[in-house]
Amino acid sequence: MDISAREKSIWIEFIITGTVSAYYFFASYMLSGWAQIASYEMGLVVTNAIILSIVASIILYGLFAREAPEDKDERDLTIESKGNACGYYALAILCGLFVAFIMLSEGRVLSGKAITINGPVAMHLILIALMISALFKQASQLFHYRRG
Amino acid sequence: MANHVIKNKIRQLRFEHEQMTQSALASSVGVTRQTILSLEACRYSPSLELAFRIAQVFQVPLEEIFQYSPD
Repeated sequence: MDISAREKSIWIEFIITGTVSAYYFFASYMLSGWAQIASYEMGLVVTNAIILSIVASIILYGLFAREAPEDKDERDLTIESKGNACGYYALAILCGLFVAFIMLSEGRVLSGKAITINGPVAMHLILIALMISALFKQASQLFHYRRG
Repeated sequence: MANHVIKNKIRQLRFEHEQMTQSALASSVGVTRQTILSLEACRYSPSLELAFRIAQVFQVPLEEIFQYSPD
């Protein structure tokens, strides 16, 4: 596959974000019920996710991207701006959905049980939005690199 | 905006200029080789500045390299 160092770097970022997101979703799902997430549990999951991303970065960049990416040219910048736009739309949609979700759960419409939107739950929702929007941004960039 | 509207003769001109490689052209105009690859495949339309730089390398007028074909 004919691939520039910058595209390779985006592939690595995409794999790291995907791995960390998968770990985060799995670990937070395994918590004692996310409606009552305790701060220390969330703190532990987030700390592990950060450590995982650092270790994955060292391994993947060390194995596959030893050369520094070349300077961005106009095509890289165009693709980056398209990726940013895609990530922004994903973030805006997710924020809208979460606001609607919080409003509905406050009114006990969704599940019939109250969900307290405390600090850890709010952090959980924000992290989900950030991870998914980052995945959309990187996937969009990779799509445009492959398409030309 | 429709794709593949701007055609070009970059590949042909490269061969006419002592079989210039994509990498050599890329470094002459300050882009990556992948950008030249995309340009030649008509999958990417260059900025006006890049188009002028390519024309300068081949020392031909812009319209001799790039053709706009709306149909």
